[in-house]
Amino acid sequence: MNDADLLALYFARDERASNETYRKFGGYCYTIANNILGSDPDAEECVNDVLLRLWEKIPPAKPDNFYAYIATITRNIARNRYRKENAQKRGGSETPLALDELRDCTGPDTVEQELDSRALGGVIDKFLGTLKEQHRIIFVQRYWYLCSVEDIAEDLGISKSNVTVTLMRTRLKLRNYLEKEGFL
Amino acid sequence: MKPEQLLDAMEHISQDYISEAKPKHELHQESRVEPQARSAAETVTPQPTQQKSQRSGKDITMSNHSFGQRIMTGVIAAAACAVFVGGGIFIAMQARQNRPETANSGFENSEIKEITDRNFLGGEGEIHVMRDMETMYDDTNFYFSRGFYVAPRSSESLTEMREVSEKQKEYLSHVFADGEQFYFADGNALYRMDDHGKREDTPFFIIPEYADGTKVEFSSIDRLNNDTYVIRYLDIPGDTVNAHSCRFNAANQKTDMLPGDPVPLDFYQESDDSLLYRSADSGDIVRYTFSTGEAETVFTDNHEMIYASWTVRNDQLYLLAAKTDNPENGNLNSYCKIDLATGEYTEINADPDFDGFITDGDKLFTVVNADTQLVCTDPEWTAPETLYDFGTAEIPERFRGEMQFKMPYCADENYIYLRVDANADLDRELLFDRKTGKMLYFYLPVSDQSPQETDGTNLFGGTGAIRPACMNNTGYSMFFFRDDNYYYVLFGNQWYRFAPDGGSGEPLPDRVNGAGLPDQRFLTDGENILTTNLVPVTGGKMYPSTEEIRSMLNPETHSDNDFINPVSIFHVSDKYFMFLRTENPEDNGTYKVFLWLDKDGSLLDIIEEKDPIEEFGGCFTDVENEHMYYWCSGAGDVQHPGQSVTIRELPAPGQTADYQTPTDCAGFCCISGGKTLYLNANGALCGMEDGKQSILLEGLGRFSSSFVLNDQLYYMDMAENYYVPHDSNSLMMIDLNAASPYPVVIMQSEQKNEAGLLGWTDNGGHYEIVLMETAAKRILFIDSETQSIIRELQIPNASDDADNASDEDEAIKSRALDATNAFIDYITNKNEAAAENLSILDQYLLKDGSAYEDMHNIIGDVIWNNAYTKRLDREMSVTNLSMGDENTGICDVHFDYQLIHEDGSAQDNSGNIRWTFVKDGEEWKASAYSLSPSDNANSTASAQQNKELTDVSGSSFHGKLLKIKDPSRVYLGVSGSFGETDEGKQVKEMAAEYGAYAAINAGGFEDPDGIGNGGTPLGIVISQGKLLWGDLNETYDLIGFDKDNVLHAGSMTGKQAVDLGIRDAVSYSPILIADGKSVLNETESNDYRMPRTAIGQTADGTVLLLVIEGRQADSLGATNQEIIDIMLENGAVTAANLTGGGCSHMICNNEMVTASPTMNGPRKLPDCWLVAPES
Repeated sequence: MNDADLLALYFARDERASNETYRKFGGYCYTIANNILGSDPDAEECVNDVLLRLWEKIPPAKPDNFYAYIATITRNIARNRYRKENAQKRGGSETPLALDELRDCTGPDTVEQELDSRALGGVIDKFLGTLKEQHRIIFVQRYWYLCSVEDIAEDLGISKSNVTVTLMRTRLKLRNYLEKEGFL
Repeated sequence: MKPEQLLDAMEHISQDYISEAKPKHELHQESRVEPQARSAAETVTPQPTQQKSQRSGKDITMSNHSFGQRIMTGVIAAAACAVFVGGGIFIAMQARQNRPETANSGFENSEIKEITDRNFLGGEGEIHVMRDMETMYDDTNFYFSRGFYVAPRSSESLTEMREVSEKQKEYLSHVFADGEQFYFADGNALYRMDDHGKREDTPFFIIPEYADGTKVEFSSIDRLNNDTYVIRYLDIPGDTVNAHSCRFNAANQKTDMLPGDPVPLDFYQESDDSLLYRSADSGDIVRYTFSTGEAETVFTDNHEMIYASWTVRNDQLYLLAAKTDNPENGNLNSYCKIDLATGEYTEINADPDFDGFITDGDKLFTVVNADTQLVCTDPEWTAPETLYDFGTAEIPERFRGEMQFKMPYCADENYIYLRVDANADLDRELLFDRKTGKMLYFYLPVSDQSPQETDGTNLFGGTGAIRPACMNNTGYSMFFFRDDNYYYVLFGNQWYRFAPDGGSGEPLPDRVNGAGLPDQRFLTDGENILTTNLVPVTGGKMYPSTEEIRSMLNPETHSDNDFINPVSIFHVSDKYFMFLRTENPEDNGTYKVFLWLDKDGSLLDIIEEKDPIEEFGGCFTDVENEHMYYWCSGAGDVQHPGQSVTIRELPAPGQTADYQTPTDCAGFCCISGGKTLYLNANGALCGMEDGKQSILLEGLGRFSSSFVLNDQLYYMDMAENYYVPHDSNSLMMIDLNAASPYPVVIMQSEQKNEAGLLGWTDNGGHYEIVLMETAAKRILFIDSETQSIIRELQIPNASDDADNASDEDEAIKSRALDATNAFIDYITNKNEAAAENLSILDQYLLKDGSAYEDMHNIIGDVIWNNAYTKRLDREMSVTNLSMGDENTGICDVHFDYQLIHEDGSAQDNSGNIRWTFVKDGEEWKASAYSLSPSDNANSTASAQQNKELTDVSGSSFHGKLLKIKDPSRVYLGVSGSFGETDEGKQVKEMAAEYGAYAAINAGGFEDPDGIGNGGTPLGIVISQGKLLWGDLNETYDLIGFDKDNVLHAGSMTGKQAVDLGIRDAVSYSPILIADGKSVLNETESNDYRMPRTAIGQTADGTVLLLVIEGRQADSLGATNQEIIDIMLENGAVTAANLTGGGCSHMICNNEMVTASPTMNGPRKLPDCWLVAPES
């Protein structure tokens, strides 16, 4: 079933929409959620939340890129859930590791500033546009999907050290970029 | 900012980036999903759905429940994907297969999704085919020439294409299309295939078998209607090729052969029983009737038809032909129609200005009006419409003037593809977008040729491509090359060339075609040749530059100061491989770095290993060039019993290393056909295959070099066994195919341990073994069959040369250039490791000579002070050479270079260096040198108009002397308030604030670790009568003027100074001149060279302000004695040294008139000597 058909099911309020979405995207939702949360039951619940949220949002929402739309919703739900629960759970999640790595970009001054997350996101987006495709994919897989370094290496068929080095260089570049844009 | 904020903000990145980075498979789900997750999945219970394959019409069942089916799908998918390496799919599939299937997670549609995600061309979406796969496109890409070239479907009108890998080409050569359906040709069977490369299980068509097993090849398939096809194929018995065509009815599997001679092309089904085709030979249009087996010519063309321009509409055959009714008109074309029923010939357009047309089934397309207008017309040519005008359109630069001839070749509802006949052999394609009316231009970037080859001669001065002259099992010779004219050998530091039939060679000059030949080997992978500085000599840009390599290295283990030493390059399958060593000066760490590269030089994978070099044997490929390996042992490349050799595989990206090293390997020969040949610890020749080790021949002992050629093992025997005489070094051969292999002596060299195998060379199918006798300086080519010497390259002996003197001249010149090069390197490149590597320069310097000590001092100073970082555009040439007696020579070298400062600014420098060379044993070494600035050395001439400002220079420096007649004009300026928190100011800034005419740096300041802020003076500071810094009771080395404008330089307390009426003063040392005489002893006065500043006064009161430039290749700086000499020459009675080094500089008329002593410009200081403008 293609995305347009799927969207049509949602617009027709046909309950098969959720099933089909689950069939088509469930695995990816699960992966994203599990990367962030590091827990199977949580990730599963998260996927169910995503399906519910999609049902609520479409219509009126009519995403152009269905995959990216679902992925974004999944990430948001999982991130929120992580924030709520991370005091107790630190298990296999990639989140604390990723946060630690991102200190490379924010510098030692980790005071929470008032800042416009959307504007910052826009700057990051612009920054991503300056990267080589492979480097961008590695960066987004790490900090958007919160994939582990091992998984990225396997996914792209490159060595772990290659991923680590690329990430490190990209973080330093981002830091320079953020400095230049006045965020640091 | 908190990291969380950053992670949150990632939420707002573009959806395109999210999709782009979508992981190819879900991770961990099989092992992680808990039972409740499965039940959650089951509650959804989706039904299996049926989906029609777009092309084959075959149903694919997508199920998310059947575990067995899932594996099947995976296997099929892997099989389908395994034949091409189109990108990530193959890798992802492999990875998936390796993962254990432990649980049914409920997400198993992912396999199908992966297959359907990408088509077999590597793009997404349905593939549209235009004419025999000439042009194809899908949602993401355009594909040209059967898919050999790919370009993204971007909105740009000018797009770069890339060539697909050789593996993908090999795969595509099996793929055919009838305009809609894809087919895969496998042997004599043709399978229908969908867009994702999935073949049907049963063949669609099988070429009738030839009893003799003749090889067959498909050439095309055309679809006539729903069930009938014309299939063309070739049988190739031996050297001949026979073409066959048949009509094939897929419904009843009936095959009717068409005439094979002349070969038919372009079919049109006229009726069930007849079809029209064009004869490939004559261009005639022929009607073939199946029931009668008759071929009847419908139209005869006098001339060759171009691009098969004919079409049939309503029983009318429209075609473009040469004018048949008027042969005198020669090649003039005629566009006409022929009534197929009556044979009536009607000319439609008597003199069409076009060379052919194509049709999309409805309209005709052609280019008219001298190749300028793409037009669309109906067959009757009633209303031609211009679609695109090349005459008025904006044509991309690289296409202008290159398109001699444009011809529509195929079209569909979206695009018209035009063939271009370019006079340059550049690959370019044109597509006209019918929807937007835009012409899309595509080009394949040409690989960069080395600049040396543009004038027709190559780097060596010969013609034709430079190529390795021989190869062996582990790569290519890196010091033995050839071109169309000569062999070239690097022996010692000298290149020699030899005529193709051998004989004595002649040395090549160091510079050929204005380019220097490296005195080291070249790197070569057999096709591409690079210098060891990674400058391409021939070939494309498959390998990155040193700078690009730096950016690839792990910043945690490598710094920008690392030495990068490329060792070897390889072309492995469709990838490129580079092995290099890095030396890290900070932790003295040495790394082996292995790079896997794409053909554009982009990094695919990097493997770094920290390891002692002496254990490393080298990288090599197997004979099939499919894999990379390296081997390690306890010693160099001499292989002998008792040592252990380990062989390790360096897997290409996406592969895993599965090579098992033999357990008893003591000497390595080669890996060929999956089999490893090696010597074991007892000196026996062994083989290992599939992990099984076996002994082939006992008692070989050891050998120095070896390779396998045509199943024959050649090696140089070290004569430690009973097969050969003991005092020899013999070329041996073992026939590995023999029932009982035994070593045969091919040639005995009397030079024990001095002969080695370079490899073999393929001289037109005739193999020659290449052997080098190092001591005898000759290379021998030995016929592998007759085992006789075919030719011999003798490297001439320099001492035997009649023209001995000129050899010595050349030797000195070359030494002088090398020494200058090394010297400038150390002066201009900030590199702490350089200090430890002065040995490079040392080999040109005489240990007891003045040059040795002097250069060591100056380099020490430059390195200590981090003077410069980068130098560019160096040009060096010998301008003069004069020989003294036979043991001395004086050589002048001129050099130009550009310094790049850290802020990016550049500074041009040039100068002359005069070397005095003496013979030290066999070698020429520099005992002394002197520098003189070039005429254009200083761009600061503007301030020089002033008579007060003059140039000074010595043997190793130059600088500026400012003479101020009226001493009252000289006074001390300060930066402001002093103290730790107060930064100093640059002299220029202070001079401007005080409104001074000129200024130089003055006193010292606190400078912890050389990074002080210049805000805290050392000693006393008195400015314009005020004591600003210092203590009345303390003693200082004071340099200052009293109120009578007399310069005092000496030791005194603050109180004494005040009592003396000192108006302006600083502290520094040493005092140089008192009462007209030098006060320094010899040691003090001959300390090292550096940038210096000094102040002095003559008897008539004139103040002398002196600044010597330093730390530059054309001015190294001065010693105290040299400062004293200048001061005395100019009549100084009192003089003192001021702070120097990175502080030394002079400002005049707001301009810096001396070179900046550091890369960041002059330092910030607490004070400076100022000169008031003339009143």
